[in-house]
Order: sequence, then C-alpha cells, then structure tokens
Amino acid sequence: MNLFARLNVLQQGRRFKWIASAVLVSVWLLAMGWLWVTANRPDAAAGQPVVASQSGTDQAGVTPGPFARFVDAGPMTLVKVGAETAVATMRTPEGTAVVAAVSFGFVAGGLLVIWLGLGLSYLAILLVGWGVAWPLAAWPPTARLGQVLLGAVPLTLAFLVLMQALRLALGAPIPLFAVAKNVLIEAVRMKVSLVFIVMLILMMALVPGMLTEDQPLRYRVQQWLSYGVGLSYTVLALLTLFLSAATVAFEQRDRVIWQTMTKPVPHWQYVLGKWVGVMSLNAVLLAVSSTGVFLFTEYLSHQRARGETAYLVREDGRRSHPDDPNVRQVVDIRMNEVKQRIPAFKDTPERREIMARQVAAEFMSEDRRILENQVLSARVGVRPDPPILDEEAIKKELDERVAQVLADNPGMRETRSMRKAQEKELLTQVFDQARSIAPGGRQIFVFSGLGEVKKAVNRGELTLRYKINAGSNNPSAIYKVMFVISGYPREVTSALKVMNSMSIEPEVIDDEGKLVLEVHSHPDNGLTMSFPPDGLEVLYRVGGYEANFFRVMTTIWIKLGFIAAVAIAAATFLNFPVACLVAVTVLFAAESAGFLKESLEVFVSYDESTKTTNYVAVVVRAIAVPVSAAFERYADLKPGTSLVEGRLLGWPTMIQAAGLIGAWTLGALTLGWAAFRRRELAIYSGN
Amino acid sequence: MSEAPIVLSQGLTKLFKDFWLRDRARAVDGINFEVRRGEVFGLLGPNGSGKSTTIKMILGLLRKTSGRLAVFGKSPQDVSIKKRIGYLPEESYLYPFLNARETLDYYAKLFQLDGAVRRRRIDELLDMVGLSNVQHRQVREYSKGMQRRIGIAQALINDPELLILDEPTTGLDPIGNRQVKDLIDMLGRRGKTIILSSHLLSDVEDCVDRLVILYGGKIRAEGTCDSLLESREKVVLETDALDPQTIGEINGVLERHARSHARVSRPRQRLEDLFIGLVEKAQSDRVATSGAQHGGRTASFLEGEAGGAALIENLVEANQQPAMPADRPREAMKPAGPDQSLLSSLSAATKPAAPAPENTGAVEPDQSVIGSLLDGAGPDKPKSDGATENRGR
Repeated sequence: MNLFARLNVLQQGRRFKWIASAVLVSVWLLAMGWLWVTANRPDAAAGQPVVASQSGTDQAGVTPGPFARFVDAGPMTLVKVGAETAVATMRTPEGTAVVAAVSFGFVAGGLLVIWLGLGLSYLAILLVGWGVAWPLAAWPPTARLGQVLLGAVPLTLAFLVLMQALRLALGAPIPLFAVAKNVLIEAVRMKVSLVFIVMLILMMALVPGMLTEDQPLRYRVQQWLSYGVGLSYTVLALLTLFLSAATVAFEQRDRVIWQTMTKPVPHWQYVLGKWVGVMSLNAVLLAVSSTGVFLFTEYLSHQRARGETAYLVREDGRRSHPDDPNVRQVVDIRMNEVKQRIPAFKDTPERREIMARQVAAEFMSEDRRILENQVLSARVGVRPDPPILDEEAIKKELDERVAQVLADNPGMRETRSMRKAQEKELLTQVFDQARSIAPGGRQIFVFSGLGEVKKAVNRGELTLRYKINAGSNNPSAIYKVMFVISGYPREVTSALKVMNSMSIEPEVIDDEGKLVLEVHSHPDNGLTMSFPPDGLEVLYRVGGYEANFFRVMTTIWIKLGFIAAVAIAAATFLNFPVACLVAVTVLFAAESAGFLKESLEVFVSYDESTKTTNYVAVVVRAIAVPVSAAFERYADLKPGTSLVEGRLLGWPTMIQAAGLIGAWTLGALTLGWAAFRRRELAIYSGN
Repeated sequence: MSEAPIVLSQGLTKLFKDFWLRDRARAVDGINFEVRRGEVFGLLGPNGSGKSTTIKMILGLLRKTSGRLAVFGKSPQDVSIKKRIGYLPEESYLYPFLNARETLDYYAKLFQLDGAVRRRRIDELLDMVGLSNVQHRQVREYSKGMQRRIGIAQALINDPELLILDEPTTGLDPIGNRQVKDLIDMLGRRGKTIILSSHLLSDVEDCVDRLVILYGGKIRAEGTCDSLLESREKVVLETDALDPQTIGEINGVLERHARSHARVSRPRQRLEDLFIGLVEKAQSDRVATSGAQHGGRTASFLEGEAGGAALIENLVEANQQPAMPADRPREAMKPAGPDQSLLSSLSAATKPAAPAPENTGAVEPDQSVIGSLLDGAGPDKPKSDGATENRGR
C-alpha cells in the first residue's frame, strides 16, 4: 500500500478521528482562554490593538518590514484580523458568548471535516497549498500567482468536503445511489474530469487578477460577475457533456456494464443513477464556484469606488453608510418633517433603517450609487406601452394589402394563413414605426404600472436603458437625442447599436403610476432613428442581488441537468464521439434558438420577386422552425445576463424554467431508458 | 414430480443481424438443455460454437431470437432473478478507478446488502482471493491474475444460487487455478448450481457433473462425464496378480473369441479425445459454424515463391530435433491427411507428446481445433495427464 493510501486509511479510522477531535477542541479552548485573558488585560481598556502589535503593521506611517509583509501576504492575516475582531468583541457586553458561539461554529466545521474522514487531507492541502502560495504572495513578482493559489486552497477544501458529504449521502445500498456514487468517484479519479475540475477552481482563483483597477468599480464588479458566472457555466456545461457521455458509453465499450447489469439493477435506476451522479457533482462544483464568485463579489464591492477615498467614504469626507452619524442626523430631520406633516405616522426602527439606507444612498458617489442600484440589485424592466391601434384603420389597410397580393398573383386564393401573415407584417411595420423618429421629429412613449415604485419607501432610483438603431448602424455615427422626462429635458449623444443607461428620479412618475418620455431626434442626425423592440426600457429595483444570485445559480444547475440528460440518453445507444456530437448539437440548438428564430424571419423558402421556391430552404426551415420553437424559452433564459445586468430572475421565472426544462430532462431520460432497455449490451455498436 | 430446472432451454436460437437487418450469423441454433439444481454443468465448444452467446442469453445481456429460455422459471430479462445469480465474465471487466474494496462494495450495494453483511463478506472474500493486503490499490494497477481474483470475488458477493463462470481459470497461476477448482467443488457440495464454460478441458473434466458440447451453435453431445467418456469398445478386467498359467488360459479363452486384450473393465477415454472426435465428426458432416474454422493452407505470400514450405519445414525440424524422442519417428508426430497445413504440423509438434488415443478413428484430429483448446494450458499450466479419475460427490 502506498503512503497516500495508508494515510487515507488512517484518517478514516475511528481512533484518528477521536484524537484529532480532542486536539482541535483543546486548541479551541486554549485559544478562547488566551483571547479572554488578552481582552481582560488591564491595559486593554486603552483600546490598543493588542494582537496587531505583534506584526507591527498597523502603526500609521510605518512602512511594513519584509517579515511583516510576509505575514500580511499569507493566511496569517486572517488569523490576525480574526483575533483582533474577537478581542474587540469580547470587550463588549455578551461579547465573550458571541465569540465563543462563532468560534465554536468553526470548530464544528473542523469536527465535521475530521469525522468525514478528511482530517489529514485538509491538513496536507493547507500546509502544502498555503505553504507554497504564501512565499509566492509575499514576493512582489509572483504575488499574483501566490494570490491565485491562496484563493484556490479554500475552494479545493470546500470541494473536498462537499464531495465527501455527498459520497456519504449516496452511501445507501440502493443501486441508483451506488451508480451515482460511482460517477462521482469516476469524475474525480479519471483524469479528463479532474482537468475540468482543476480548471474551474484555478480559473475562479485567476479571474480576479485580470480585473484592472483603473476602471470604475461598477464595471469591475460587472466584469467579474460576467466572467465568474459565464466561466462556471461554460466549464460545467462541457464537463457535464463529456462526463455524462463518457460514463455511459465507455462502460459499454469496455464491457464493464456487463457486471453491473447482470446484478439486480433495473434499467431506470442505472440511467437515473448516472444522471444523479453527474448532477450531484455539478451541484458541488456549482456550489464551490458560486461561493467563490459571491465572496469575491462581496470583497470587490467593499473596495474603494470612483469618488471614494475608502469604502463608502466620499472624497469630501462624507460617509455614505447607514450607521454614520451624519446620515442618522439627516434621518432625524426627515423623520421629524414627516411626523409634522402626517401626525399619524409611526416612527419605527424599521422605517428609520429604510430611510437611513436611502439617505446613505443619496450620499454615495456616482460609481457606488450605480453599482448598488444597477449592478448589485434585482431590477424589473418595463417596456413602453404599445401604440393604441385604430382597429378600423388596421382592418382597412389589411384588406387593401390582401387585395393587392391577390391582384399580383392571379390564381391565388385568400386563405387564413395568408391573411394572418399579412396582418403580422402590417403590425410589425406599425410597431416599428411607433418606435422610429425622423431627424428633427419626436415621439412619445408611456411606461405604465410604476405606481408601486413611486409609493415604495426604499425604491432606490429608476434606470432608463436605451439603444438606438439607424440605417445600417454605421459604427462611427454619433446620434444626438433629447429625452424629456415629465418635463425635464436631458440631451445625450450615443453611438448606434450600443446599450446605454441613464438614472431617473422616481419623482417623475405621475400619480397614475405612469412615466411619460418624449424623445426628440436632433435635426443633424443623418437618418431616421429607431429603438429596437428591446431597446427602450425603464428598470426599477425590487431587491438585492443575493437572492437573485441564488436563483441564477439554481437556474444554471437546471440547465446543466438538461445537458446531462441529453448526453446520457445519447450515450445509451451511441458511442462516445457520436453521443458527444449529438449532445453538442442539441446544446447549440437550445442556446442559439433565439438567434435562430431571428434568422428564420429573413430566411424564406419562397422568393416573392422571382416567384421561385428554394427547396433547400424548405428543408432547412422544416428542421429549424420546430427547433427554434422548442428551445425558444430555454434560449430566453439567460441567467448570467440577468445577474450581470442586475435584473430580477424571480421565483416564478425560476420555477417555470424548472418545470419546462425539467420536463425536457425527464423526456430525454425516458428516451435514454427506453433505448437502453431495448439494447443488447453484449453487442456494442462502437466496436 | 421432479424439481423445476434452474435453466431451461428449448429450441433456443440466436441470430445476429447486421445494420441492414440481414442475417449475419446463427450463433445458437435451436439448442435444448436444462441445468438442474445443485449440479455443476459444463458448456464446451471451440471458439464461436455458441457457448458465450448462450451464457449471455441466460444473463439477459443478449435477447433470444426464438425458442424458450427460462432462468429460475422466469425470463432472463427479469431483474428479480438476478439477485440469485453470480457471474464471472471471460475477462475481468472492472472499474479501473476503484480499488478492490470499493469494487466489492459497489457490487454488494447493487444487491442491496446492508452495511454489516457487506463489510463481513468483503473482508472474507478479499481474504479468500488473497487480496487483503492490496485492497486499497486501484484495480488498474493489478495484474491480470489479480483482476481475475477480484472478478471471482464479485461473482460470489451475493452468495448466489446460480454461479455462471466463463473461463474462470484464465490468467490465474497454478495455485489460483487449483483454488478455483476447489471452490467449484466446495460450492457444488453446498448445493449451488454452477454453469462452467471453459476451453480448458481438464478444468471441465475435473469439475462438472454434466456437460454439453457445442459446435456451430448446435449441441453435439450431452450427458454426464461418466456416460460421455465411457468407452464401449473395450473391457478392462482387473484382478489380483495371476500366475502365467492362468493368464495363458484366459488368453486362450479370449483367442477363441478372437479377442487379444487382457484388461477386463470399461475404461474411460479422455475428454479431450471425445471432444476432438465430436468436432471432427461435425466437420466431416459439414456442420456450419460461425466460429473459428480449422486452419487451411498457409497464405502463399508467407510461403514465398517456391520452396517456402520446405524452408519452414526445415526450420521446424531444426527447432524440434533435440526434443524429439529417438524412438518416435517424425512421421508419427505429423498429422496425416492431405489438407493438414504446415502450421498445423508446427502446432502439433510443439505440444507435449500425448499418449495415443485408444479409439483411433479413421479421421485424424484437426490440430488447429486442438491448438485453440489447449491455448490456456501451455507447458507452465497444470495439464490433465489423461487420468479418468471419477470425481465422486
């Protein structure tokens, strides 16, 4: 038995677990005792940072020496900061109990790790990982690499503990669980899957280093969310696809399946077991990567924004934190005003809290405010009301058009579908026209249903998002536009086909909950400008990004479930490369269904001008139309984009997605089960 | 009323089709047999005779084309019967990334064995197959023989009523080989039903109660070892030592009846002889087979333009000369018959000299078939010495 195997056996043993637990609890008790003594030392009353003085780094104006720099670069900083915080907390009433409870939480985590049989693995990774990363991080030329490794260590530890917990959870003697657990072990021990896992963990640790500090904080956070979530999804989608296909196809190719399927394993349990295995792995990896993304987003959002000297401290020295005395002072004044105006108004701590956040937001620098309102938030978008149509005029116009078509095509008869096509074309033209403005012209847009936003106390601000198209969207063209919002004009310039945003005060919403926007196109603009269907929108905040983040990640997991099901189903009767190809095709079709739909609108099989039918186009449309229709909802669901744009991905949307994609997943698995059941396993098509 | 057989096959046929659904091969052709409870049943046949196909149909890995096949009275596709079956395939198809203990744990869970039973059985089986010390090494690091041992252990994890062993001794060293035979013997005594398919005729001869010999998907012989191997052409008379006068008298009696042998009993022939005889008979009857045929002429490009055969023959002769017994003329070692190839003669010459069969028939043995059957029993493998010891149970 090699050394690793011996150590593994050792850490799984009961004796080791007891000894390690005893050591951990003893260390905790000693640390608590030391913290208590430190906090209660007579000189502690002076409030000096007792622990920090050891490294000598926080005396103002003192340049840290090489040793101090070394200590600061590594995980010892965490210990130092933790100890400082603990000592400070212990000096407050009930602080000792709080510190004891919190630190016991860490101890409980440690005990969990030990009893999951990972005590030595953790110790080894911590010592080796941080042992290597620490010196690298302390030496300026390799500092970035060191930071990457420092970040990779906790992600690896989280991965290990979750995997072990999952293995235990799947330990029941049921074929489905046994098959699922085997997939987990396979994923870790077979090198291809391991490459993906390591890649994901390293990328997560690497991306933060790629964010340049010279751009506004809001862009950095947005970029990070975009990279982090996009990367997680891409890597996991590929891993899911290959692992799912490989675990089923290779078992058949290598005939390992003979020994499994000659045991009492129902076919459905085998297929479902494979899926559960892949999805459990995905859940762990997604949990690790999203924890990484979330924690780093939090870290990043607590950095200095443009116009700040420190987190929430403006260059003019004002703090935009709800707990700041200046903010509280303003809250007091405003509360008194409200109470004078409305005698029945109740001054509750909750209301004060909401108002304090609102005032703090007013004090924020622009960068910070946009970050909080447009990025780290969950917003809902409202598009302008459709133009009110004159039914009579529309009908008349439609009749004329139909008559014209019949006149142009002798022998053609009026059919329902032909009339419907004409109607669709006409309405599209009408709506397009309603969003178009000629140079020097103007157009009015009304956004309804914003009454609740106006009433809400913690409404934040509104955002107007707009995108201008004109002609063939000359990239060098700049258009001048004036937006008049409830009488307040604002002139802007914009490049074509670029999404812009503008903050609006909620006061502009009228009592009926409507926002009226008048758009003037400057006479110098060369062509008629228009807003595309998704190019004009008012967004308002309905919540923070935390819950949204959770829903986004869950939706990504649901999408991965479908990919896994398709790849598994394909691999039940196809060999590995063909199964991958099928799964990639389905994934590609699903992801690009929106684009496909747009393309199909211009890809017609009948050419009006030459009166000829393109039969290739007929075939392509016959395949592409149902595909785009089937996957339209899937493609519309862009969880990553929602997060980056700070848009709400609500529970109803998520549940709807779960229902729809879940049904497809079930369908794919059923198909796989049916194919697998009929299959003669002793004949392999791949041979 | 007799007990229902564990496996019942009636007119069992398997037809393989190609992509265009055209008949490609008739691997099993209307065979009838039954495996009774508590017996060790042998399946014999040269490559492609249909034994593995039959086993895979019994296991539900293949579907029958026609006929009837019942295992424990149910369809082989029925999941419930698999609880009672243990299977060792002809090669070890194991998860390379698992270690020995994890492998057995995985298969034990498929049988839904609870934790305590699982642990006890795994410990015992690892001990039995001699892998306790290496149980934490991944299977991919194991030698072929070690993988075979894990294969045997997994086949027994559920303490099966029916054990199907496909070439169980392949890749095992002589000790492992002996252990497997002892295991089969012990399980047989415990009343387990065993289906044993093997190329190693000595394995089968030592272990089985009843056997069928397949060729071209058809059963060529069926019965107990004793009934099949009993030679009806001879009688052996065994007594205490006789004085020459008595022997003379007995010879006189035999001469009067035109007989010249002096042993009075029914001697057993060797299974190998029986097997070869049946295969030859099948070939002379021109029975079609989808499996390996006997070797034909050496490919002409290998022989060269002219004199190639002579060259190879000389090389063979030079190679074999020192080992050749002086009292056996070379011609006696070569198979007779105009269709025997040079390579066949090479194969015969390299095998240890076997005693001449007692029931020499008119047709010479097909040496390529023998070669394929003896593949697993090279000089380093224990070989049956042809003794017809009856394994009483």
